[in-house]
Amino acid sequence: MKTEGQSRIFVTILLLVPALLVFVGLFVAPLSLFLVESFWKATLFRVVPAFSGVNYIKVYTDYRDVLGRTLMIGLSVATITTVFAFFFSYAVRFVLKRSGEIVLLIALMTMFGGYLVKIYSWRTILGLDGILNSALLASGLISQPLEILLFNRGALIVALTHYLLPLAILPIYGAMRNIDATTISAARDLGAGWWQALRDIVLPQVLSGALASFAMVFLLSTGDYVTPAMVGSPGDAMFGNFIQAQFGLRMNTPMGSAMSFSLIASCVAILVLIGGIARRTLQPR
Amino acid sequence: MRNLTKMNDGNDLSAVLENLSRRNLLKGAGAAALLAAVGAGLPGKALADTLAHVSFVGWEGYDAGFHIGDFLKKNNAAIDTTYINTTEDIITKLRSGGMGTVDLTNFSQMYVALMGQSGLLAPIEADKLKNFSQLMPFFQTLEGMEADGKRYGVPFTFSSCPLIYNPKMVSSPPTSWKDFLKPEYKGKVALFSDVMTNVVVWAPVATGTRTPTLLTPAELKETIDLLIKLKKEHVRAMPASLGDGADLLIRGEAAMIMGWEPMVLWCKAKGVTVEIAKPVEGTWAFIDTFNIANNAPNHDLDLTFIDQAISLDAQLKFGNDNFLGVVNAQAAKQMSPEVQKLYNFANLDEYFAQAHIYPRMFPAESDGVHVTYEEMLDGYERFLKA
Repeated sequence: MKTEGQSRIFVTILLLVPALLVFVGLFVAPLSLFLVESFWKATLFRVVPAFSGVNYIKVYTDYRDVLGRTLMIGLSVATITTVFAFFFSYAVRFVLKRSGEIVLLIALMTMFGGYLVKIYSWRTILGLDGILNSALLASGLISQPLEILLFNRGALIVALTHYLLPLAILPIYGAMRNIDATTISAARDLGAGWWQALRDIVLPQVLSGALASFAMVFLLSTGDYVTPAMVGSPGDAMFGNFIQAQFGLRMNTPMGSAMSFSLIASCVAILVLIGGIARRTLQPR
Repeated sequence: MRNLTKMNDGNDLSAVLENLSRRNLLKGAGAAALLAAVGAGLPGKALADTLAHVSFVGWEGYDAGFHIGDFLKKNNAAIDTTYINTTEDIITKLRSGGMGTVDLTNFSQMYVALMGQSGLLAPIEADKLKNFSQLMPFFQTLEGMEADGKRYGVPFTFSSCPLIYNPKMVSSPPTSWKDFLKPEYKGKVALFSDVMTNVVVWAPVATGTRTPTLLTPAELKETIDLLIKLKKEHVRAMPASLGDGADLLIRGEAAMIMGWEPMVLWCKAKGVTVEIAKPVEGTWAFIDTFNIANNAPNHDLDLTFIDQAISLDAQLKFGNDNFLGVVNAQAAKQMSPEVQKLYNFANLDEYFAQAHIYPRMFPAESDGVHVTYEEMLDGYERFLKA
C-alpha cells in the first residue's frame, strides 16, 4: 500500500519526466556526442573515430588570439550591460516609484523587437546617412559624416548591449524587489553615504541576480557571430564565426566540437572566478 | 469505466462525482488530449502518404518552378525543402545520413564532377529530359558536368560576382579590382564574406593566375596577403549577406563592392543607381545545377522535377522573380529587358569572357604542387584572424 509521501514522489517524478526527456534528448545526448567527437579527427568531408587531444591543442595554438578577443568583447558587453541593468533596476525600484513599473514595461517590451530589427536600427542610427550623423551635420558640429560610428568594435558593443539589456534587467530587478527600502533609509539615517548604502546593503542582496545577468549576457555575447558581421569591424571576427566555419564550410565537426567545448570551458572558468571574487568582495555588513 | 458501470447499475450519481476529483479529472483530460493528438495526426499522415515526397536540399527560390500550375498535383507529389546557406551544407546533409532520403540538390558547376566521383551524386540520364534540348547550346555542352563519362549535373541558372559601383561616389568607372586599393576609396569598399568568391576573384589580381583554383602555396600566400591588406586598410565592411551588401550601396556606406548582378535591380528599386564595371582581371561566374543525390528515393520522379526546373515556364518565373540568368533558350529571349541587360543572353561568350567559369575545385588531395581545399581554407582563416 502506497503512503501519501510515496505517491507525492511518484507524481513529482512523473511531472519531471517530460522536462527530463527534453533535457536529455535535446541537450545532454547531442552534447555528449559532440564531446566524444571532439576527440576524433576529420579528413575531407569525413569524420574518422580516432581518439586524440590534438583538436584541443590546436584550439589553444591556432585560435588563442581569436578566443581571447571574443572573451574580452563578451566581458566588456557583460560588464557594461550589467552595470546599466543595475542602475536601471535601482531607479525603477527605489526612485521612480509607481511610474517605474511603466518604464520597466517599456524596457521589457523592446524584447519583442526582434534581434535583426535591433541590429538594423543601430545601422540606421550610426550609419553615414544615419540619424546621429544627420543630427551632427544639421547642428553644424561636423562638416562630414563620421565614419567611426559604425563597423567597429564600439558599434558591436553598443548593439549587443542594447539587445541584451532587457534580459539583464529581469534577474536584477527581481532580486531588488525583495529589498526592504526601509533598510536603506535606516542606513542613510545612521550616517551611511549613498555609495556605502549601495555597497553594504543593496549590492550583497542583489548579487545572485547580478551574477545571473552577467553570466547570461556574457554567454550570449561570446557565442554571437551575427552581430559582428552586421555592425562590427571586418577584422573583428568572433570565435563563433570560426566554429561556424568548422561545422559548415569545413565539415570538421570534431574541430568545431573541440572549439565549442573550449569556449564553454573558458566561459565557465571566467564566470566561476568572477563569481568568487564578487561574493568575497560584496559581503553584507 | 468503473464509474459508468456503477451508473448503469443504477447507483447514486453523487458517488461518481465524489470520485471525480481534480486529480482524476486531470488524468482524464491528459488521456483525452493524448488521444486527440494521436488521432489528429492520423488523417494528415494517411493523406500525405498518398503523395511521393521529393526532398530538395538547395537554394531558396530554386524550387519556385515546382509550384507552377498543377505540376505537383499532376505528378501526385509534394516537395520537402531544406534551404542551404552554403554549397557545403549539401555535403554535410548528404554525409550525415541524407543519402537515401535526399532527392535533389543544387551544386555549383565546380563541385559537380568531384561530388559525382565522391559517390554523393547519382548519374543523370539527360536523354530522359525532354527540355534538355531547349537549353542554350553553351549549357548543353558545359564542362565540369561529367565524371567517368557520366553526367551529374544539369545547368539551371548562372550569375557572377561583378564589381558594382555607385557612379556618384567614384571619380571614374573602375577598370580593375586594384581600384579598391586607391587611397580615395579607403574605407569606401566592401568585400564578399564568402571564402571561394574572395579567393578566386582576388587570386588573379594578386598573382595574375588564370587558374585560381589551382594555386601554389606561394600564390595562395600572395592572395591572402593582399586580402589582409585590403581588409585592414581599405574595407569598410564585409556584409553578412548579399542583401546586406546591397544595403551598403543604398546607404552610401560603400562606393564599390564585390557584388552580385541582382544587387543592381535591388538598388534601383530603392532609388539608387549602381553600375557594373568590367575590371581587366575579370571576375568569377557560378553556374548552379540540379543534381540527383545518390540512392535518392524517387530517381525517376526527380528527373521529371529537373525537367520542370529547366522548362520555359519555370525558367521565366525563376529568372524574372530573382533577376538571375536562365539557361533555357526560349526563356532567355522572353526575359524582362532589365534581366536581359544584366546577363547578355544573346552573347554568352562575351559574358563569360568577363565572368570566368572555373570548372574544377581546389584539389581534394595534395598533388605536391598546388594547395588543397583544406590548405586554401587554412589560408582564408589567416585572413579572417588578421
